[in-house]
Amino acid sequence: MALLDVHNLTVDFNLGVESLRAVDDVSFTLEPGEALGIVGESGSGKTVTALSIMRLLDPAARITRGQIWFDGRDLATQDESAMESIRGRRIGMVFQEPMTSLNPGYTVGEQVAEVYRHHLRLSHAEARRRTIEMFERVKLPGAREMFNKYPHEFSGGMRQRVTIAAALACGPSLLIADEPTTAVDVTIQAQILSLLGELQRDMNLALLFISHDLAVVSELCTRAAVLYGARLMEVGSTDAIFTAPRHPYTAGLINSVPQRGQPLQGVPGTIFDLRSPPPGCRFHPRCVHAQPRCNREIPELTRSPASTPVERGHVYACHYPLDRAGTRPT
Amino acid sequence: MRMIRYTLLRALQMIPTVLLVTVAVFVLIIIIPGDPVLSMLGYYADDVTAVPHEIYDRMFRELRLDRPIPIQYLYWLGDALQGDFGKSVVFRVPVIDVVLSRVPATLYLGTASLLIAIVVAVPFGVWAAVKNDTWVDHLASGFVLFGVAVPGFWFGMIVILVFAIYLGWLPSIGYVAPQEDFLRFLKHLIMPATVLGLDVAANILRFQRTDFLDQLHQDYVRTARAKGLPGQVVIWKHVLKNSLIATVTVVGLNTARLLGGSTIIETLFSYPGLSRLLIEAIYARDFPVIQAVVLWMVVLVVVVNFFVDLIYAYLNPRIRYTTA
Amino acid sequence: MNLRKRCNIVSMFMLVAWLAAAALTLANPAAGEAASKPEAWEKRQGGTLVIGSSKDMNTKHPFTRVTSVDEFIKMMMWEPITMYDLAGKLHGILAESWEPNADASEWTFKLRRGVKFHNGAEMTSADWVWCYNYILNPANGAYANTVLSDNIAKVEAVDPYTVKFKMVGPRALFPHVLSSIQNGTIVPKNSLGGKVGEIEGNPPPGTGPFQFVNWTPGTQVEFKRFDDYWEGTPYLEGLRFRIITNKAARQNALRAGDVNMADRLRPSFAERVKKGRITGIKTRAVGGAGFRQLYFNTKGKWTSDKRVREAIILSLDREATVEEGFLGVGDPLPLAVPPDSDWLRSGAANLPSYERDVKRARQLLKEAGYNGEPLSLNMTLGQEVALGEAIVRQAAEAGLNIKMAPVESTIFYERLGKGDFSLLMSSGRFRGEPGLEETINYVCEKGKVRRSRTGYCNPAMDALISSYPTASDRAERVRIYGEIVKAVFADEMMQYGIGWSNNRNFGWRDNVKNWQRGPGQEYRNALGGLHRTWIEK
Ligand SMILES: Nc1ncnc2c1ncn2[C@@H]1O[C@H](COP(=O)(O)OP(=O)(O)O)[C@@H](O)[C@H]1O
Ligand code: SF4
Ligand SMILES: [Mg+2]
Repeated sequence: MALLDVHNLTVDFNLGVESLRAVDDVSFTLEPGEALGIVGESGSGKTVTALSIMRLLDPAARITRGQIWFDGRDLATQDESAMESIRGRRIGMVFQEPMTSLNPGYTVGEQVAEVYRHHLRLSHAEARRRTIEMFERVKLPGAREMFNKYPHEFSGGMRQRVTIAAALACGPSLLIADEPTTAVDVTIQAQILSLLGELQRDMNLALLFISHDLAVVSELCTRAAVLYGARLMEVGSTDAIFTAPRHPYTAGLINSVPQRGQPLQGVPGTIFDLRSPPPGCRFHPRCVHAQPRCNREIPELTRSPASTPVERGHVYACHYPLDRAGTRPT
Repeated sequence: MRMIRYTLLRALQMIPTVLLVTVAVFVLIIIIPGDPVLSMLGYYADDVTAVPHEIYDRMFRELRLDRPIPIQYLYWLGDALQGDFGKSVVFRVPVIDVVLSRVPATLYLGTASLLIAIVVAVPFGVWAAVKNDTWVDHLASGFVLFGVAVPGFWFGMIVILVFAIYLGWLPSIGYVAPQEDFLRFLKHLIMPATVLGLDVAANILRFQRTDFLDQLHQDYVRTARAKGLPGQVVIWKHVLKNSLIATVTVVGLNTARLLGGSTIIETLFSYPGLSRLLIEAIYARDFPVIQAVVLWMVVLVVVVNFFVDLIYAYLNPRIRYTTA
Repeated sequence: MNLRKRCNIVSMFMLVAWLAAAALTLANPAAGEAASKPEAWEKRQGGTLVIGSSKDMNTKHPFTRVTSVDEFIKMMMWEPITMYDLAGKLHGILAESWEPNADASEWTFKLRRGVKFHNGAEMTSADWVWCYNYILNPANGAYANTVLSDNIAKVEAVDPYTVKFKMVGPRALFPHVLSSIQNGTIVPKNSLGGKVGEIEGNPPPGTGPFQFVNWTPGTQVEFKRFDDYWEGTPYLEGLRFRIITNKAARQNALRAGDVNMADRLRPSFAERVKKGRITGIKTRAVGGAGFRQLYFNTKGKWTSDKRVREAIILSLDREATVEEGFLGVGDPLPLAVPPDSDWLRSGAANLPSYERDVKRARQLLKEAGYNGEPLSLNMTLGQEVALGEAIVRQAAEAGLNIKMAPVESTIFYERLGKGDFSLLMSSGRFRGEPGLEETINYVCEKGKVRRSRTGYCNPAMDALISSYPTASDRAERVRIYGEIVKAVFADEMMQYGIGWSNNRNFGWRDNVKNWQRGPGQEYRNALGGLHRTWIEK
């Protein structure tokens, strides 16, 4: 059974006079120990999806439909105290901004140790010992001396290691990492990614890795889900998605990844305003393959006929999917 | 260790500040119009021809007014360091006695109103911020508006009218030392302290609420919640510590103000505090008293600032390192 | 002058006199009873009277300069030699009687016998001689040095109860001079050190009905009953003056019962008491609380021109000024003397009518070449701003540009000393001898007397005003006063009287019995005072 089963998740923001749907009918599953990447442009609903799982949504947002099955429980209906025992204990989360996601007023050690004390009821000394151990695991140099340092004494990469340490302290079975490397430079990014991969294997972690960068996802994850304008466009193994994307948007994303010897193509046009989504296929205003049907009918997620193992579980939402060569619609 | 070094450094920095202030206080007295010899002798300024010369000259020398001003300053500073601020021109008793007779009353009133202000404002501000846009928040905004718009004098009058005149529960004026009669001390303190405290509370609350609201939207709050910490821990441990930096600033400003005394409240409640003493000393041209009270107030501000800085350094570790 | 107004003042003063008489008949038997019927005294005695006082005592020294409330508080422990009653008659307090020689160049005082100091010693002529010599020695810095050395040449004890003063010349008003404690209350001999104005520890003992207990400057002064007081043991066990500078706070304290009595209350407060909206309290307007008048700087830029001074006077309407300036609780009068007194008759006979005449004022200003240049009206912050405004507005109708300058008293006096003003608003009191009041304003005689406030200097005026205190016959002084008024008000137009302000009220709670005020706001007068007051249990 899947560790996480997000089913028809729909999240609405009530912005006073108007409202918008930031996540629309999103479904995906995640097996224990598996790494799933969520890819999409900025504003496509990745963070809202993650925060829905953590139930840390802004007060203006509500899960209006769907379930989030985790460990046999529907997180969408859990009360706050139940969630408090899940967060940090069963699900850890790492955020995008390492510079601001730590409390400037407390030492980094304390910010990890308090997780041990709170969830595992450890003593101060024990929590401290375990924190230092954890610091070593995330490869913080001189872990012992690091304990009493304050976040402002750290670089972005080191801070991100601290937040990873805090998120993994209690040995959760799921780690949600929301663009953990977006704000750090490339060399640090590579280090963090390899650290995450290592930890995922060693701790048998299920990883929900959020990124706007398909290349990064393909490095770390076995499967990927592509979000566009609050809806899922395509889900499948990273191999399948990379080598044979069926959805024109995915194909566009892949083309936007800089590749040697080829001009950067990207996806022409800009994303629509979520307050007034276009009818039919959301991507049709930007889709080069769009047909008249596309702006009338919303394409449902359809399963690709699984001829190879790579294509097993590969789904996409397109009336005119690309062929397996990834170029022309059939 | 770093904290200790920082503390010492800040303490040392106070010395030149205070010295500079003593110069300012001394010069201030020179520029205030009025002849100290005449006041000392109890004459008005138009009486100058009526004062016997021998007496005028003797006083002039006794007050060292014949010396150059820098020398006068050094004498004054030397005496002041030994607690001798001279004699009050009006009361003809040592200034230190007059000032010390007012210091406890001012400190009690200042501390009590500060406590009331903090106890009311901080939790209320947190509550209003957490319950943003609910009736609690609206109540807080109403309180702030009331505190800012309604003059302390008027509020004090209403309180006196109700509790002293109609109900007769509390005395409308005066002060009793706590060691004399603690119950009566409290009875005399409660009204002025509340009026003053609520005024300051409105001031603190305004900042506290805004800043707390701002802090609540910071990323570290989300991180703390993602770690599974209960809402109460997040608010009272994580958010409060950061939000206190703003609070301490406002409280610090108000502390200096309160410990220096509040003229309006002291006048209305006929409370023997320092600021009334200062006002009366200024009217009476009681130079030595003016000097001592102003010096006291300024030193108080410097000392309060010192503590505010220490608290800052505790709350915001960045300060400790950049300064020390 | 408006007849109705005039009747008001007269009836006010008559009421005061009647009340005093009534109080006298009530109080005196009571005082007698205290000695002969101890039960009656026992029934009334006890309690501490708390007084909300607008001002504090100034010093612990008997011979520093006194100011109004300061003097009233000090008079609880120190008594003057003589004192006026409400009718303006001089009574002996520490003196039983006094006698001048033929030309009043020598005065012999018989001391009151059986007067005890608070330290238990009896007051004798030795104490008198020591006290006057103390004041006369300039090294001691006593404020009365100026006045007394202008009167006394030598003081000597004739016997333990007789003191003889040799005067520097004829001084008919010497007993009047001794009606203020600053000019010579009696404290035990050798009880003051040589330090100017300073006292270590408690003030020296006095002879008054109450003795000093302690003083917290700016906060309170406490007294306790003096059992051996020469007029009989007071009823009140203690007196406490609580310094409450704010009017509203004093009124609140009185209403709340935190004080039994309070001075200087607002007319509006008295009005509410009268209308029954505030109960449990009685108030009384203090008639003649202060007389307001204008002086001109005779050395001033424009005011040195008599035509300008006259124009200012003609631009003003006294009735309207008082109505507006004192908010309806004043009485217009040209001279700072009681209405219907021989002083007023003598003075008023020498005054012009002062009917408002804007046209004539404009004419005079034109002749003087005045063209709207600013004239400053120097006044203290304590003065009625409304009064200043009324004057400025009325004068403006005649084309005068008066700028009101309310300043804090030190600056006020400094400007006065430097002659840095055009007009001066000043408060006066009636102290029994109005002819003495003008000395500081117009006499410029060198020597001990100060330069005149108005800058005026004229030997004839000096001679006229200086002749006043030498006249031993009261009728003669009344006549001289009339001449001074003529010279100052009519001939030179250097002064303009506005009227009495009655905006000060005394209040006391119903349980305070047998309280009679003096001519002003004092707690003691020749015939009564707090030593006759008791608190009903
Ligand atoms: N706090 C918020 N208030 C209003 N709208 C929000 C809020 N957070 C997110 N949204 C809406 O939801 C959409 C998805 O946001 P998000 O999940 O943060 O995107 P991303 O994929 O970049 O993480 C945004 O485009 C925005 O319109
Ligand atoms: S459904 Fe149509 S518009 Fe949408 S992606 Fe497919 S081809 Fe393009
Ligand atoms: Mg995001």
